[in-house]
Amino acid sequence: MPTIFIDDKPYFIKEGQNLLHAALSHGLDLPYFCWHPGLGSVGACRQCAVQHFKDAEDTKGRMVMSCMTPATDGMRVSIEHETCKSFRADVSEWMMTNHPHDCPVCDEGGECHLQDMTVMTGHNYRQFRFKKRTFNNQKLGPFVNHEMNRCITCYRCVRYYRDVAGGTDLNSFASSNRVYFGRNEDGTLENEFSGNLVEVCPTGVFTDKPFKAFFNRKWDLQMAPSVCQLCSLGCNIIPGERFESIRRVQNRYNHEINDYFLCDKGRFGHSFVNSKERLFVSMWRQKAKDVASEISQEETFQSATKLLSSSKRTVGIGSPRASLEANFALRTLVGEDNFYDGLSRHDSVLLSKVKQIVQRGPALTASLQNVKEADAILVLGEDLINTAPRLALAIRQNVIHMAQKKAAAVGIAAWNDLAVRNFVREKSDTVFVVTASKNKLEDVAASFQLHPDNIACLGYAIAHELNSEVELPKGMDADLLAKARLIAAVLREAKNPVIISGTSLYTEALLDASANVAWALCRQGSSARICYALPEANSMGLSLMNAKPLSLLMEEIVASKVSVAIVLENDLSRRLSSENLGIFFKNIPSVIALDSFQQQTVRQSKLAVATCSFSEGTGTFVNNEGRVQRYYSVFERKEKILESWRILRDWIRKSKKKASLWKNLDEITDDMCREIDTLSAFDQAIYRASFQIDGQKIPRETNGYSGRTAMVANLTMHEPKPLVDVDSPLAHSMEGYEGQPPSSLIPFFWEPGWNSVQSVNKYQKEIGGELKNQQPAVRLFDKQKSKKIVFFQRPPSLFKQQSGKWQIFPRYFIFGSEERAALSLAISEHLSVPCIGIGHEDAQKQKWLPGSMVNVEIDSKKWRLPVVIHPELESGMALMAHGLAGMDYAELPSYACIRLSESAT
Amino acid sequence: MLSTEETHEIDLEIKKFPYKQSACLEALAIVQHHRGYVSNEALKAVAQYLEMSETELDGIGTFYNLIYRKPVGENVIRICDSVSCWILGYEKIKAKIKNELGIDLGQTTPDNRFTLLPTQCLGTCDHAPALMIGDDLHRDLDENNVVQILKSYQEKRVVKDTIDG
Repeated sequence: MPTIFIDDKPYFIKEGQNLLHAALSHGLDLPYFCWHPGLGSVGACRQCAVQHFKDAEDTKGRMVMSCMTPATDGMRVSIEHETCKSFRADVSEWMMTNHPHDCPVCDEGGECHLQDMTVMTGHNYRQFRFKKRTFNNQKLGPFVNHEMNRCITCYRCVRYYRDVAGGTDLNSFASSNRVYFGRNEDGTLENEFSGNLVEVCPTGVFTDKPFKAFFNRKWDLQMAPSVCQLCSLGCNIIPGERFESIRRVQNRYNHEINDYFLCDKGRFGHSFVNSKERLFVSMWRQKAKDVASEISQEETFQSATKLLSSSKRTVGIGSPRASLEANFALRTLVGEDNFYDGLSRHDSVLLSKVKQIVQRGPALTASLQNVKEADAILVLGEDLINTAPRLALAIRQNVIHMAQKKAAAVGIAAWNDLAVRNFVREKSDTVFVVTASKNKLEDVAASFQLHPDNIACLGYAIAHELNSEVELPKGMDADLLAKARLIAAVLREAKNPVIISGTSLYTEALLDASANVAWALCRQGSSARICYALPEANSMGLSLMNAKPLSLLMEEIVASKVSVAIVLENDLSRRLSSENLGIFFKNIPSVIALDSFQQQTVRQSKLAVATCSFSEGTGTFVNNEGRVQRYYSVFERKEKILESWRILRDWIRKSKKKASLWKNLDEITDDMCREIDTLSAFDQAIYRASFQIDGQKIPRETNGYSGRTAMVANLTMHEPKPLVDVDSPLAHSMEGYEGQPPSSLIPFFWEPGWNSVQSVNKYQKEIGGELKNQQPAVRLFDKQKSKKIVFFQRPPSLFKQQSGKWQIFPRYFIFGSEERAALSLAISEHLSVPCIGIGHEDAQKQKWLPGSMVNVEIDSKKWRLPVVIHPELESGMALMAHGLAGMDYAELPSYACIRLSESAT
Repeated sequence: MLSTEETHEIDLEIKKFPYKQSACLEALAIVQHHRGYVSNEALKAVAQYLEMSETELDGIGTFYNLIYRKPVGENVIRICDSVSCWILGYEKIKAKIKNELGIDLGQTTPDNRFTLLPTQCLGTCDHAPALMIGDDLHRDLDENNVVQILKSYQEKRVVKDTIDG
């Protein structure tokens, strides 16, 4: 292992690192600005200067920029040498010449990398007495606030936004002292990952706009380790609370998933918990048409247990966005025979197919890290930017990773960002993205558009190329076959390819085809992985519950005489057609809905039970790869609302006369893992509430948390007793263990001298790698699988257009298709509107223009929607917006007539 | 938006590079040559023509002092304020021009004849102070001859691309 000497002390380093990376990895304090572990080095800021000596005798040395200097065996450098030390202080001083003295009113203050670095370099007194340059700021939309005067021109923002996230509407302008970072005119930042600018910017130029409206200093926030609730990837997040509201969400570093970056839905979508649609009090409706009246928790308990005790048959309807514990509690209450999955018909079918594929193997599931490091990627059908945004960013990271590998072959170090970019300027030749409509990865990947059935055929053809056991679809044209051969050839050469697909086109054949490709590769001895984007955060978790499909209940609903249905955190209007929803409510006299916010099922139910949201309750999700992750409650309300599982437990205690059932989360977890075999590994890995370090719990509050008594001074002058958290090793307190907790229990990143998000450096074994106290992930489908491969056969037939009809597929939107994210204030300003997407050819033939109002008729139901033209869409198919507020549920894919609406203008 | 002449000239530049985006600076210069400056519309047209984002092109355009993103007068005076010119009377020359034309640095005369801009060293220190009007270099300036020079531009309409007047 190479050794370098920093200030005469030897340090082991990894081959291929630069000096800055090596020094930071050893926990040394070396200031920097333009460098970022997710971006590499460009040597723009001159802040990380160190002294480099030619040998042990050399005391003078020469100054080098550590981020641009490869660390090589035997190298001698100094961080403490007077020359480089004073140079670094000078660099800070000159950055400060234009930086305003506005820390007290700056949102970044207290967690500012610039503050930290200025203190670290020892630049304490300002001598600059001239005018500072000033700029006009831009309005950049609902997510990011702009304050250009604070800029120190490190270029991190454009390097992230343009080079990593693929944005085209942010850049640097002008030169020398007038360099400006922004758009070429005011307007919302278009990229779906713009929120990361807030964390990438080392100072207060780009700050969190919704947070600014309800601002608190970092040290005044109560924080907890949490998991994003808004898609199936399970990115790790840190929500911060003050005065019982979630003020912001920050990235929680996890090198296997989201590393340094989140999508905007994940960062700005969680404030739905503050929305006026929140349900804080339970509601009772005597008759269907009555106005609901508020009832207390005790009355809720009485009414519910009364309904249950007189019920002939009670069914439970689970939810893919409720925790494992809540679903399990409901299943326990109603019994396995009466437990339904609460999914739409196609989601049910697709999810069980996904589960079957990942369980059967032999391909393992891919984490985002696997995607980033894959040497070939094939996306079949899924519009990732809208259904699993962070996965789309992982593909972009993969393209960068592969470019670094190519550059390495000619001796360019991976961290030498500008050199790598200059050397590799072409699109990736190992990433293929085949979708129904444009996918926003066109600029980096080989990409083309096909009808979903044809994408599946392409998948079969690729698999056939790799293994002739797979049937070749009939009637494929030469062009498509050539594409299949090309893709197969690239995949065949790859050692660790990843095949990505998903459920959002409601096309089962896509799942089959992608499994066939992955398995055919495994058969050849490669360690191919498979990755499916699923509909919701705990879709995979729900699939472990052996729930019956909701459609089965709908089939037997008239005959089955159900008296009570308990709907757990689920809006059935998003799962059933309005006709079926009517039948559901007509045939079930008492519907009890549990949820944390108002939605249609809650509004229609006899008893609507208020449950707490992820911010106030602890629970467990299984992500799309089968990774089991726990999210911890951030705070507790003074008017405490219980988690769904606790409410259901109370009902079980009463109805089954088990007075001491599940006293805390650990007990229900034990029971659950005992009953659901696949979860047993999780039971062993989880930290129980009794877990302590040095006899202490882990505090959710920083040790600078202020106002503990002042916050309640209008009620009492005494400091309230800290709340006791019986479910987790975390404490609602600023007191407790001050060191670094295990990775899954990190409530916030902070180290003395490192107040900004960059403090994550101090938690990592190696910068950009795993955390020091990394726990091994619990991944459910990693067990040794059978070597025997049975390929899916019977590929679909190629799509044939039906005259006068369109085949309609759903189209998801990152901002709008997730019901809860749409309630967040910031996202509500950015919502997509209902529409029907038509191909260019069809629109011309029909003389429809963008915005033409048309009636989409499926069976006898009509949707009146404006036309959006997707030039790339195949003739004979259309994409209908899915899941947006105000749009009725449609059973898709279906054939529909589309006619110009008579009242069109 | 772009004239056939402009696209023809841009095409010639594109041929010199492996990526057509590499010709973006020349393309902006071509547009400016024909139109006097690069308007937002022209910027958009060039960006589309070169298949790059407007923002990226604007970033490049604004980096260079000689690409004008705002309208300028028919004659752009670029007066050198570097050290030799400054020692040898830049201030006086500047005051004289200001007085003569009634405009300060960065401004354009109401009749649209002149725009006054500062510039760095013109590489003619042995004949300082110096300035350029359009593509013409004027050296050994004093308070008298500068007025004469300005007059010569006021009287005749100078075609922009003539070399050495």
